[in-house]
Amino acid sequence: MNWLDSHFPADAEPTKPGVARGRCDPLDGVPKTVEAAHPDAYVIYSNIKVSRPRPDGRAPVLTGSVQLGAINSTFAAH
Amino acid sequence: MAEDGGLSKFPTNKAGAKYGTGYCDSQCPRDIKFINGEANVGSWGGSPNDPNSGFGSFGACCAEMDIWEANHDATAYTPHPCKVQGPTRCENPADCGVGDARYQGLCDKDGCDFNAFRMGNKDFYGTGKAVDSSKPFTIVTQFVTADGTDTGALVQINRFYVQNGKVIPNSVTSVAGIDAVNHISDSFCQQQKTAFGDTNHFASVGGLKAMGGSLKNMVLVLSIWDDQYVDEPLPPVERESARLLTTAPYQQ
Repeated sequence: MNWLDSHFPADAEPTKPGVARGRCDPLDGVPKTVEAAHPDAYVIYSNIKVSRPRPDGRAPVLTGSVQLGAINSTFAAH
Repeated sequence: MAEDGGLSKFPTNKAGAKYGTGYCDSQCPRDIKFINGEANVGSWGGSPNDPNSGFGSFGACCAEMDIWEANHDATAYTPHPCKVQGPTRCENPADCGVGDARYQGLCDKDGCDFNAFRMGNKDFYGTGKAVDSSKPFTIVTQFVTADGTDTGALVQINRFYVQNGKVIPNSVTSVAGIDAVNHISDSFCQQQKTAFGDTNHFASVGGLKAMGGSLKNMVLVLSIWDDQYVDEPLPPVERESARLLTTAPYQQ
């Protein structure tokens, strides 16, 4: 994820404005590395809502929750 | 993408969204195996690091609004508009934005990203930071139109966080040449591209107004993924085709 959390583009000087996007080492995101280190990674998205802006801040719930991961597993939607 | 994955528009598509057809995004991905009801077999070259992937001569383009691209340590939200509205098959390297033609393509592959760290606040998002990524939180994204109506031109995208009952405004930019704002607008994008020396293909394909037009009809995609093509040390021509998305197909 170098474009998100490390230096990008790879051949650019890291001190140039805009090149550093996060603290990670450029090699940390290599899929073999990250998948070996975190085979049980997952994320839960829940209470997904969409609405016009309303003064009370409330919005109708359109979708329940979705859990994704771990790697190569299926996902569950509720 | 079309809600039915292209089933009704393309008679040769007998599968539909339930079986994964119809996906598209602003990278105009060429690893999609069926586009517009046809196999993407022309010039299929295979992938050096995945026997099940490869690149055909067609790509599946459409505008993309990245509401949340993040991990434990970094986050960005990014509009990626296109010159075209709705799912569009690109059929040549220029339209697909391949390699040196990246900034001729139908879609804005770079996007106009707001990443707090990149925009100068290194203590905003992460474990123990202003938004503590080690604990649950809510993200809020607001799409503001010029006249406040649903049909008005999109002019601004705001971001807030809520954690422990507290509203946390997005971080404010701190980069020379960029106004101190905490939202995305066409002027923010122009200033950011200039300050960082990036090509403003975002503006070339229509900027926020084009993004707003596409936002009227979109499918929500949720995924967990890593960057096979971007992060592995590969020749640029392979890296170009960006992310391998393990996308959750749209469920009817």
